[in-house]
Amino acid sequence: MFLAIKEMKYAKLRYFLIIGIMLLVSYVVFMLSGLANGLATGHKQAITDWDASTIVLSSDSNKIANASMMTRSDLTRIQAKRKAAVGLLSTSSRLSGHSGKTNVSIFGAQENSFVVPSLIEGHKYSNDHEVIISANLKNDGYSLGDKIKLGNDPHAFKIVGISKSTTYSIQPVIYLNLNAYASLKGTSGELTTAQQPISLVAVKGQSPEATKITTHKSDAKLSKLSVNEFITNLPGYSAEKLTLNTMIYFLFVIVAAVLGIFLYVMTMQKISLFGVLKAQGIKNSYLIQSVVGQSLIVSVIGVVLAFILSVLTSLVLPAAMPFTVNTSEWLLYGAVLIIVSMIGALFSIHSIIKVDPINAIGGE
Amino acid sequence: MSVLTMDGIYKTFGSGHTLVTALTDVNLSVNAGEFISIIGPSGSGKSTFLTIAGGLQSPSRGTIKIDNLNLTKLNDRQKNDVRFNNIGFVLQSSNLIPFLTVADQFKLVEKLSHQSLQQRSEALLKSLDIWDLKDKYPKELSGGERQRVAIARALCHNPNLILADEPTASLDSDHAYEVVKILATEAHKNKKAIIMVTHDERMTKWSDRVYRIRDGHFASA
Ligand SMILES: Nc1ncnc2c1ncn2[C@@H]1O[C@H](COP(=O)(O)OP(=O)(O)OP(=O)(O)O)[C@@H](O)[C@H]1O
Ligand SMILES: [Mg+2]
Repeated sequence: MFLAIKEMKYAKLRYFLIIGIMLLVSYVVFMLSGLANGLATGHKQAITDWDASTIVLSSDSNKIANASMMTRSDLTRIQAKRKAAVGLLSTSSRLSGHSGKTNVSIFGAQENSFVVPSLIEGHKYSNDHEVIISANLKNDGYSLGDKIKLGNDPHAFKIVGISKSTTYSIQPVIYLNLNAYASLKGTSGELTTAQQPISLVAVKGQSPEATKITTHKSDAKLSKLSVNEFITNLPGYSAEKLTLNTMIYFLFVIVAAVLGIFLYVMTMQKISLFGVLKAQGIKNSYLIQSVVGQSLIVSVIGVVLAFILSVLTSLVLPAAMPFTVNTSEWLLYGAVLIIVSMIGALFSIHSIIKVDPINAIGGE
Repeated sequence: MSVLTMDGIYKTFGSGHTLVTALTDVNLSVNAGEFISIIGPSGSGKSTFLTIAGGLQSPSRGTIKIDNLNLTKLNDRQKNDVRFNNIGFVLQSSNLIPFLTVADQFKLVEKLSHQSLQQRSEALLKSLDIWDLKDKYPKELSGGERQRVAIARALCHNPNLILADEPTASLDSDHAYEVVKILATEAHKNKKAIIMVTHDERMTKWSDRVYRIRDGHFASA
């Protein structure tokens, strides 16, 4: 290490530059990881809040929540102690008397069912014209007692309760009862309660295997899946995760290549010096250790600085940005970055071993 | 007492009609306290001789002993150790590490040999009149200063054999004489065996013995 550190002190600028590159790439990796987790959370948060284990959808929905169509009567076909009929709708919301619209995810559910979140303000809805909003809608000026309009429904809804911040499809969430949901779907008038539409049934504390569904001839087919499978099939969820993670994996390769090439160029410039050192009886292992040691120092400094910078960045990012710090994932990615940097140094080892000390004598 | 003994050394390269005989029947014994010069024209086999004497390549025939270690019987690792412990090299262009200060050049040897060389290197630097340069990098030194540091570097771990490959080639004649005189003094005062290869006739006058090499044949002058 003596040789490695002395050289880095001597050629400060070069090593500062490569530490800078290491820092930037690691920073991008951490940011992408934060975004990937933020987006994933943004898609699924409201679903995870339910703490359900099984989701039942109509079979022809192909596991896509938004495409699933069921009726309230289907709830009785599902044998479970704790089950909740849920209607799903993505629409826009505006405060009465205002024109600014906000995209929201609407959940229809009966006020006593387990999917309705606990409140930090107000009380649960008790009629068809009351709603609960998630706290992140406060940023848009919503508050307890306000009247809001949803989609093109003629009714005004009163905000009676506020739950903690949450999102579904990266949109804030509004809960209302199933009558109100049917009305938003434009179907309330002509239907009986049993015929009212819902999207899915959530089951708590019971695996898909343990959940029995009775199906008579005339009934629409239903499918059950675990919550994890349901989340994987949320629109955009898997695709975004895969895209961002692939970028991260590419960055690992890029780090190995950039550091590898840098150290290789530095090694090539020192070939004749290595020849002299070897002629003097200095072992290959010491020279290899120097190069690998430099790679370790550069990558550790770069990753640690990037980690600090990422934490600071996460503190100043706007709340609206989907960004979640997952420290253990950052530590893992940091370790991977350091390991691939060392792998990059391996390119140079072959050239070091190949140097013939004989060239140190009589040759230039 | 003989530090280096070469017995019936031959070195050939290639085979058939591309066969080159670089050394033919070289017999040489150098004792502690002896400073010998080897002089010869280009292509005569000087570098080949030095690399074989230093265990950097094996002879085609014959035996070499350094400090009574039979080099021809050692593996690469052991030869490496012999080069590190028993031999000091002074090379044509300096063998100093560009990113170490003069003092750190010695510190590296100290670290690798796991022995304290502080006093010895300090004494060497002072006797070679380069103590004031100890915090400088090689590029901040003149050619003559650099060669003096290289000599100190070759001597600092106290090897019995010094192999010098055209140590004066990059120096003007005043500095060249000075470097050769230092080598001669080292041999005589500190009982080192020193072999210097050169093509400059004027550099041989402080030597105890001078050998001429021509087409791989050795002859004492
Ligand atoms: N690896 C090799 N393969 C083939 N021939 C070689 C090899 N090394 C040296 N020779 C040949 O051996 C002879 C002696 O070469 P050597 O390098 O020892 O000469 P030298 O006296 O050091 O010359 P110079 O003063 O130019 O350095 C030359 O004819 C050279 O071509
Ligand atoms: Mg030569």
